[in-house]
Amino acid sequence: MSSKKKVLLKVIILGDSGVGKTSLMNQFVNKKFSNQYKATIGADFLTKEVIVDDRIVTMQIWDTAGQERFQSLGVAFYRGADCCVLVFDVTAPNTFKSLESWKDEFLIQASPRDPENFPFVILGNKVDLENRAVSAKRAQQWCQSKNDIPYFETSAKEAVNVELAFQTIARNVLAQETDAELYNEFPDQLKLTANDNGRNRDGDNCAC
Amino acid sequence: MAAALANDSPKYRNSLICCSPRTIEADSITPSSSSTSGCVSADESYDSSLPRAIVNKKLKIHGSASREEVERAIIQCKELVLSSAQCSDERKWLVRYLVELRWRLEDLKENNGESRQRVSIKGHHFIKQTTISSRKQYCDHCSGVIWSIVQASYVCTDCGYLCHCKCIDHVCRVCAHVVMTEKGEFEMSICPEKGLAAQDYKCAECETTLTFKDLWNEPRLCDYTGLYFCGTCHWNDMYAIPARVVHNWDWEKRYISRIAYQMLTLSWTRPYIDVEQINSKLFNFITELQWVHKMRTDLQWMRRYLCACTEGTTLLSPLFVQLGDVNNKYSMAHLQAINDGSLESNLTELTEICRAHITKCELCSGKGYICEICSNNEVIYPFDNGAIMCEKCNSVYHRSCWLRKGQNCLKCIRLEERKKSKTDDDEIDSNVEYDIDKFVD
Repeated sequence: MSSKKKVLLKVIILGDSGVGKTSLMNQFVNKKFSNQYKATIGADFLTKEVIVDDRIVTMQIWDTAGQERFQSLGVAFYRGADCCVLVFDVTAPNTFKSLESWKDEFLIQASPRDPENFPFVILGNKVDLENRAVSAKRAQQWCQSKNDIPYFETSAKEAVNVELAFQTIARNVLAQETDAELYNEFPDQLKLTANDNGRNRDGDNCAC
Repeated sequence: MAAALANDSPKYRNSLICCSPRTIEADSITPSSSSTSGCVSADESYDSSLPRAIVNKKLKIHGSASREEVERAIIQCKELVLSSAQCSDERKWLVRYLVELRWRLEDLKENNGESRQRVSIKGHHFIKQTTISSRKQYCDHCSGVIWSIVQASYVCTDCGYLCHCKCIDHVCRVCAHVVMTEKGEFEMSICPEKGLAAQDYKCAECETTLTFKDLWNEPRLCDYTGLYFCGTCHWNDMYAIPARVVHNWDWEKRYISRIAYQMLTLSWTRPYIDVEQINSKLFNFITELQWVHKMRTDLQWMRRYLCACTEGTTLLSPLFVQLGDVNNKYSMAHLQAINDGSLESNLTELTEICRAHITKCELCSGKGYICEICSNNEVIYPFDNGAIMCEKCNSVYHRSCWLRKGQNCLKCIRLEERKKSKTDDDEIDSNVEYDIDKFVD
């Protein structure tokens, strides 16, 4: 299990401006939080070493500016990304709605080999605030509909779930890599979930 | 430095002797926030792919810059980003430059100031070449020979740009991979030449002054971009031009610049060309193309069968996946294969194998159709020549039966009737009778 090989994971954090991307990164890497809002310029990154299943993994976490749309960072920036973290603010429904477009545009720019199974993680940030507008259920449902993306409710301020979320990211990416080696001869997996049973069973819908 | 570069120019470029170093004074062109305001329109995309390198001239850091210098450049670059207009081209390149600076800083930290292993400039991802090449290599920047035994060199992992170590900080070509991926299509007007004046009598890439009077630095026209280049940026490479192929089916190779050469080589197999949209007349003109185009719709149907069958998925070869795609675009490689006839034979073979599998396999053939009109037991498939599919309800009939029945779909009629009978109870009886009268012998 324990491989000595040094692993570098390139993680990119995306989301609308003001959802707390920089704060999340700072909380995870430096264990610090500041209430002061300061817009990120362009992109910045921090690195942190984590240990996943006896392996030392260096996470290079790229924090992006929410204002910059994708064109400015460009393909060269996204190339070689191992994981994409999409962040939204649970008190601002608009930031949740734009997740879809962030995801799509990431896939266009990064053009990963296997876009269907590219590891994404969704973080609903600012759960410490009172005026919540996006329910956990709604976010969870959306994530499930998108090929079961892991979803975490975080608070960069109170350091809720931040550590766990990034640990999961590292773990998932590593798992993805071993998965790819094992299963790449079966490209189209069909996932049958319990929800699909019993639907379309009514005689009325039968097309014959 | 220019003199040193000039001496070892590649053999096959007979007319080039000298290339001038591109060190235009930093202050002569200062980035100002008002110069590029507003969003970049799609029409200007070519300009954006080859930007005027305002950024690097102001912020340029030399090859052996220390950590402090890079850090200072980062701060400076940040300020420039803030002062530039949102969505502007200038900002885009400033942001990218900022990212590159950060990469560089990280590399410096890791290697403690030793020579750089990885370099990111203008979208390139350079790595140091360690193996000694047996083939003679030329530097894409100065066009001099790279003596790989004694000279270190960098190669871009994305586009293959190759250059000397000493040239790395002067690279002026944006990575062809970035340009092509962002553009997502080929230039589709035939040699869109504007003339030297439009380029200010300068090379479109390195901005060396060009004039027909100077034999040593003659302007060379790139047939793909329609721009003029100097000998250093245009090595008289020959390539078939996508625009000429799609419009004229003209496969003659023409002279193109280095950037165009790299872009075309990289994108040769990428499906970028929508022939139907760009020049639909080509289908009538080239029968092979028309035939291939028809086969592609068949492949799309076969794909649905094969995807759901464990044995069938093994038949999904790369060629199948590419051509069975719904977007119906072609790559230059496909068109070339159509031109020399190899795609036609490959495709015939491929469809035969797939057809054989689907008709034999229990799982696949179970999803075949039986013509409801003639009710004979022959199983038909949507990709059969003699079959036709209803666009509304996807049921399949023999083409001849369909024509005989006046091009009406039985299932659609039935569905319609049922809908009516639900809303209006009175009409049920008459409709059912009518139905039976007509369709049951």
